[in-house]
Amino acid sequence: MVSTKKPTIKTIRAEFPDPLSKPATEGMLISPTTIPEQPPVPSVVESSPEPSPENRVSDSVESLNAQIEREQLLLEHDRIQRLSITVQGDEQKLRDLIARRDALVQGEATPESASASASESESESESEPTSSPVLGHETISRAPVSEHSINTSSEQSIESLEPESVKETLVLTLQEEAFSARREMIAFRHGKKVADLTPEQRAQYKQLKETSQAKRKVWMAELDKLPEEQQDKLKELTKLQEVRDRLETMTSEQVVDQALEGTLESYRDELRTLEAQIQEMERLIRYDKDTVRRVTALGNEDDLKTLRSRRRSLVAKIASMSAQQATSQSSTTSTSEPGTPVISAAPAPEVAPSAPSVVAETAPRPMLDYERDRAEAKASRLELLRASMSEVDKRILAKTLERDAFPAWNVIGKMRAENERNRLLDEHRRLDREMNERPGFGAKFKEAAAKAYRSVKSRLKFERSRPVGIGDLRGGPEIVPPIGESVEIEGGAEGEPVEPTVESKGSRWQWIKQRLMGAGTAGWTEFRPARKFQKETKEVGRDVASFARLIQKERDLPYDEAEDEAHKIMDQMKVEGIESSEDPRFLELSAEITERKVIENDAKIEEIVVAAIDQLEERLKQYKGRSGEDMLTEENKSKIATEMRTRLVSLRSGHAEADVKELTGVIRGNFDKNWKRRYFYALIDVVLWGLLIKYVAGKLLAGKAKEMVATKAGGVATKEIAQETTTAVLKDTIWGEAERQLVSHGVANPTSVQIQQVALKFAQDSGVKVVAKGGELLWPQTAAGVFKDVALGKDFLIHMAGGLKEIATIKTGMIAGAL
Amino acid sequence: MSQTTEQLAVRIGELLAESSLDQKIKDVILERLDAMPEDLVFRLKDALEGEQEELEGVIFDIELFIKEQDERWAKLEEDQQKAASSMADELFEKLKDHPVTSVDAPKDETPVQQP
Repeated sequence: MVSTKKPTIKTIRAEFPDPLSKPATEGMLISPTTIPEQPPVPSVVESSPEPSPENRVSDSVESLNAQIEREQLLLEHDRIQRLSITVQGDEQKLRDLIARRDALVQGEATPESASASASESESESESEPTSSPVLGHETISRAPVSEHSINTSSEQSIESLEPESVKETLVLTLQEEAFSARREMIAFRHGKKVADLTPEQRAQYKQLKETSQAKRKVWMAELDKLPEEQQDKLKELTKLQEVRDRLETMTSEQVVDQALEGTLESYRDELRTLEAQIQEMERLIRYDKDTVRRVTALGNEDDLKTLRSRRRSLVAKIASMSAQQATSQSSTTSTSEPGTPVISAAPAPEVAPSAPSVVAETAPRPMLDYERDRAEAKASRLELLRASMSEVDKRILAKTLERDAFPAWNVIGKMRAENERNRLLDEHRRLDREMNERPGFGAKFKEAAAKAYRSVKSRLKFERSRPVGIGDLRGGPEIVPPIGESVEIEGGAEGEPVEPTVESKGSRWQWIKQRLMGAGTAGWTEFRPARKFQKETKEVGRDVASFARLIQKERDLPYDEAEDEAHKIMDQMKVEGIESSEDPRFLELSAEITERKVIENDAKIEEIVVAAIDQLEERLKQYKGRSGEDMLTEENKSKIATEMRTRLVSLRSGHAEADVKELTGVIRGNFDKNWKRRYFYALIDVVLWGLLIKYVAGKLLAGKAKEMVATKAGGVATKEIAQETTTAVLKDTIWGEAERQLVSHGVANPTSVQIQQVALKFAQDSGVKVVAKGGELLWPQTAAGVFKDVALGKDFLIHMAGGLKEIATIKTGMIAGAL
Repeated sequence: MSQTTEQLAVRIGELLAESSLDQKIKDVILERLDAMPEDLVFRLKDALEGEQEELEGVIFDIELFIKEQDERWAKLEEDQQKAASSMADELFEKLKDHPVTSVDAPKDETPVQQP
């Protein structure tokens, strides 16, 4: 079914010779077997002398013979290729040609009749190529060329007479060739390194490049000749497959029909112009005959004759071509009966999602193309909705104006307009709802893209961090190692050991410094990084476990997955037309699925590992080890990557499941296995701080307590003294009394100073002036006293209140000093 | 999200990461990718693939050019070496055949005509 399309393309291609004149062996798609040699086409502008009727008949017969020969060849080819439709058409055409030739040979077309309707017979013989548009093997461009060869009055080129569809087909064919050549060049380049190219390969590449460029040039040149609108339409086809699809939709029947239609139209135009010219000429001749310019009239009559002849020819051609068109339409209809394969079976992209054709089912298009078609259909629908909305808005406005234009008394008219307006408003709301449907693939799509983006970014970062010299560019060792290996060889180029940096390894001093810092901050600088490490590694582990669920099971499949896989295999077998599950193809398909899974899993695992490393770099950028050293070294990264890869690979079995704890353990163990000690150090720091605080607080509290006790003791003494008698009878001297009082109040051995302090108070309170025997004043504080100490007699009443207070003060001081 | 759509998302992410577009534009695209009309997403993919393909082509050609230029230089050097060597050999041969004589010596030993 599909093969019926091929001759269509080939035919079209054959109709347009390769502009580069390359032989078919140089990657051209045109098969030599399908392209019979074209009969020579008469020149467009060639103005040959009018042939005699005999010559014309013989020429026609020769031309017919050549065409018959060609048709026979084509017919044979189509029979071999089992192209039933074209065979039917060709047979019909062949019969027509033979009949015409026989008629000419048998003298039905006499010289006279040929002479009488020379242009008519010409038009018939020359319009033959387009007489059976279904045939598909006719030269499309020949019809207008041959027709035009007799039109010596006009110098129009072939292109000017070609209808748009023919030009479009030509450009499409060139576009396909240009894209094809480009694809070949890219395919040649793919996976090759410049350094490994042999001189022959280089020459071959250059050849391919030149071909591609030349073909592109030719295509662009032809494209520029098209109207802008058509150019834009063709430029939208950016993929080879799109161009091919488009070409397949343009069957030769359509092209020929359109060509015929275009030619007919051009003849009609010409006829109209001729009519006008003839009328003008007749008017001129009449004028000339009526005046003295008879000679001019004679010359004009010849011209008129030519014009009339041309008109007759055109009328005949138009009639003939109209009849052919009708025939071709009927034959096209008959070929597209139910059950007959239709050549233009390829559906238009816009309709594909809603109504996939039989061809699409038997040869399913890639799902991505399907999604693309759906997206484009959605966009077109949205565009239509917008246009509809705009139209509805216009109508609403018109209806509103119409309603308002009704006079007040015309209630029915008003109501009718109002009802219509309401209906339009309903429609407007409906369209609005449909248009407001949220576009896009959604948040998950965004997340997936962002994840892939980060993953590749991180890989590129890895790769770019390596020094790249011109030697690399010139084909030295591979710049970009595979992702899996990149982590491992990151450490140094060509296996050189990494120079330990100052930060990379901690020294004893650094360790002490870190601990001191921890002690200084009460363990904060120990606790915080440990907590962060714990939290972030857990997050990364969780992410890895989450992504690891995307790894497909390759063996020991769970029941549901095994069932799915079996269904897939059976579906594929159905597509391939295999019914029995005993067929060895079953195992092959199973192996294919597993192989695909292995490839996908490999890619997925690498992606997960790289993403995990990337995340660790991001999240633990500032993390330092116990001794302040950098922990995210290339060595550690490599260890993490290796071990994580091992764990992830084990998930390919149906028995294993991703475990967050295990994966987190892998990360922590390889990143910083002593990370827990940080918590211990923090604990020690906290304990130390507690002890310090206790000590300081104890000291402070003890001081306060002493003060309080002393104050309290003093208060008690004062109270006791106050309760005693404040007067006493002098027994000997004031000094002696003061000493006795001190002793009696607990000051066992009072000093002279203490005695003097108390005695002084006694003397002051009792109004006694203390003088020596010579009358000298001993204590100036007692100068205001009346009695003299030395002269005091026994039983003198001494007031002791002040002295006893002084004793209490002395006692408090003594207690405080003792504490 | 179907597998196809996921593949598309991954492809776009990869292409964006490898693209030479301005970072701000990339960020904006990634930020709005969830609500971008589907047909535009496909057009974005096409454009990025086209960009990548073009760049790969140009890089390949540049590498080829550099390689060929290096080879040309190497060949030129070799040719010059050969030319210099042959010239030196020639000169050496000449010198060997015609050793340098003393400046004072007569250029040609014309026999003195006896009167």
